[in-house]
Amino acid sequence: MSSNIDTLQQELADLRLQHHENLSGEISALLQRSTQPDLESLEQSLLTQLRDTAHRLAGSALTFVYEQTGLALRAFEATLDNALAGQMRSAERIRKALKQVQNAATMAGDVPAAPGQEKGVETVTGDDGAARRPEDLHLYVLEDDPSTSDLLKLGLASFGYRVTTFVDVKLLTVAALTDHPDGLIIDTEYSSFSDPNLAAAANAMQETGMDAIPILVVSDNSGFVEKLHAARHGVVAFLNKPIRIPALESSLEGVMRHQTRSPYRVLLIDDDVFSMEHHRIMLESWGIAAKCVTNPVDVLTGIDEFKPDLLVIDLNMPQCSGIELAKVIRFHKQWIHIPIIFLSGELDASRQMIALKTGGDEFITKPVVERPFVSLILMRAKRARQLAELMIRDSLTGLLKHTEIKDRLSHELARARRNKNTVSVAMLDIDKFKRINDTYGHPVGDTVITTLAHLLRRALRTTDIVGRYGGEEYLVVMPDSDEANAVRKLDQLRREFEAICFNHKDLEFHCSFSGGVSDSDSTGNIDLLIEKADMALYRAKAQGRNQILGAFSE
Amino acid sequence: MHVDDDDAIRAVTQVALERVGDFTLLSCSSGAEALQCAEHFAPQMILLDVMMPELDGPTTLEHLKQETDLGNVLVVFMTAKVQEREIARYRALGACDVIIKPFDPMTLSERLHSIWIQHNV
Repeated sequence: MSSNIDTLQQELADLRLQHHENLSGEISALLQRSTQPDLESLEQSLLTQLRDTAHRLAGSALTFVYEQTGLALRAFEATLDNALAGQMRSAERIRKALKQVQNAATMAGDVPAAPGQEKGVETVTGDDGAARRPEDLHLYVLEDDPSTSDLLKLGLASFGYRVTTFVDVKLLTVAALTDHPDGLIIDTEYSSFSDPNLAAAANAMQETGMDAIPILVVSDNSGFVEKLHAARHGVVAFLNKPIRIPALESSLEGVMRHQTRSPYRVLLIDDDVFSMEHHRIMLESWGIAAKCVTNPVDVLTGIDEFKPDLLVIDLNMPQCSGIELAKVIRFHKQWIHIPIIFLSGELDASRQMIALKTGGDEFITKPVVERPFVSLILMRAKRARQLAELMIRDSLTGLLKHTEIKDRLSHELARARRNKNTVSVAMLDIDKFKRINDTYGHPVGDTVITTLAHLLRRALRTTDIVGRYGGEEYLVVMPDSDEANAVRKLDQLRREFEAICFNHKDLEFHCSFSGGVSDSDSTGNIDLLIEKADMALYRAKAQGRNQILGAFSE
Repeated sequence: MHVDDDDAIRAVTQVALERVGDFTLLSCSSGAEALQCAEHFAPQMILLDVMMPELDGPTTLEHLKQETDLGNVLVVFMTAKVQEREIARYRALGACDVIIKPFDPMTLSERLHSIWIQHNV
C-alpha cells in the first residue's frame, strides 16, 4: 500500500509539472489578450470569456497548490465579475488585476519572469546584483533625505526587502493602489510630515487590499504625543533614530511574520454527519482547513495525523459524551494546549459551566451562526498557535529549538527516502562570537544572533527549516537540495551577512559566519549526517573562517 | 462521471478516483458531452463542476433530470464559491452534497464513499 501511495504521489507530481507548463502558457496568452485594443470596448462576451478562463485557471492553480497565483487569479476573476455586473468597469482595472496575476506567478516562482517586467520606479535588489528572491517583500518608504533613504534601501535589501522611496505622499498614494506594497516606513523628519500627510498615507495603505498594510514610523522625537498621534493612524511600530537596520528589520519581521502562515486546522467531532459537514464547509470557505470525525474512537488518531490547532466537539454523542471525550484527550500532555470548543443545544448556563470545567474552553449553542462561529475559531486558533510556537521556538530568535529541529530533520530524511530525494543539512556558526560579546556586550551579541536568524528565515525557501542549535550555532535543513546546491545558496547568504553593518555607540562593525554542509546521499543516518556537517564546519573554521564548505568538497 | 471544463482538474480527479479509489470513471469536458454520454454510461454518481462555460453545472443537472432517466442519481457539485446561501441553493437544485475546490486528491475518493454511504443507507 505504501509503495502504491508513492507512485500516486509521483503521478500527482507529474500532473503538477504538466499543469505548471500549461499555466505559464495560459497566463502569457491572457496577457497577450489583454494588450489587444478590443479590451477597451469591454464587451460582455469578451469579459465573460476572460472571466471563465480566470475561473478555470484559479481552480486548477489552487488544486495544484500554486497558492499565490491561484489567489491572484481569484482576484482577477472578481474584478471581471464586477465589470460584468457593471461595477468599476474599466479596462485599466482589468489590466492591473492581470498584472497582479503575473507578478504573483513570477514572485512565487510559479512562472518564469517575463523579460523587462520591471516597473517604472526605482528599486534595489541587493548590492552585488543578487537575484530577487521569490519571497521578497516590497516596502514603501516616505522620506526626502537621500542619505537615510540609501541607508534603508541597501540595508533592507540584504534581508530580501525591496524598497521603493517616495518623496511625495500623493505619488505614494497613487502607486499603492496598484502595487499592493507589504509595508510602509515613514520618517517623521520627512519635511512635509504632518497630520494630513500621515492620515493620507494611512488611508492609502488601508485601501489597497483586504488587510491593512503595516506602517512603521522612525522618529527623532520620542514624545508621548507623537506616539499617540502615530497609534491613532494605525502605526504598528515606532522606532527612535538613529536608524539601526537590524532593529528595524526585527520590527518588520515581527509585524509581517503572521502573513505567511499556513491555514489554521480544525478537527470536528460530531455524530450528526449532516451538521458537521455544514460546519466543515463553513470553515473551509473562510480558508480554515477542517476535517471531520464521526466516531469518537477515531479522535486520537485523528489528532495525531491531522495535527489540528483546535477541536470542535459535539456535547451529545451516543457512544460517549463530549465531556468524556475531552477528558480522554486531556490525558495526553502534548495536546493539553489545544483549545476545545463544545457544540450543543444546551441552553442551561450551569450545565454549560460543568462542560467547561472538564477541559473545554468555549461553549457554542446550536444552531451555529456563521460569522461569530468562524471568528471565535480564528481567534482561538491564532492564540493556540502562538502558544504552541512558544513551546517549540527559541525565544530570542524565533527559530526552532534544538530538539524540534532534530525532529524535523528526521522527518525530512524519512520523506527524502520515500520520494528518492536528497536533503541537505548545514551547520552554521558565527565567527569569533565571544569577541563580539566581550567587546560590545551581550545585548549587541544578541542582536547579531537574531539578525542572522532573520536573514536565514527571510532568505531561504519556505520549505527550508532553520533551527537554533546552540548559542551562536544554527542548523539548517534544506529538502530537495544536494550538497553543492546548499553550499551555493548559503555562500550567497554568507556574503550578504558579511555586508550588514552593525552599530554599537559610535562604532560600526561587521560580522561573518562559517558553515559546513552534508547531504543524505552520503548517509541516511541523522547523527552521522550532522556529524559530517559539523566536521566540514570545523574545517571551514580552521581554514580561516567566513566560508562554507561541503563534507565532500576539499 | 466527472464533468469539468479544466483539463488539469480532470486529470487530477482521474488519478484521485481511479487510482486511489478504484472507481470506474468517465471524464467529460462539458455539460453537453455529459448529457450525450450519461445514459449510456449510467453512472451511480455524478461529480459536476458548477461554473462552466455554456452549460453550467446547475443547468446540466436540470437537463439530466428532464432528458434522461438518471433523475435519481446522486449528484455532487464541485465549486470554489462557498457562501452558505449558494450551498443551500445547490442542495435545493438536487445536489446531495458540495465539494469545495481546491480539494485534496488523496482524500477525494474517501469523501465520495462517505457521501455514497450516507445517501444509500
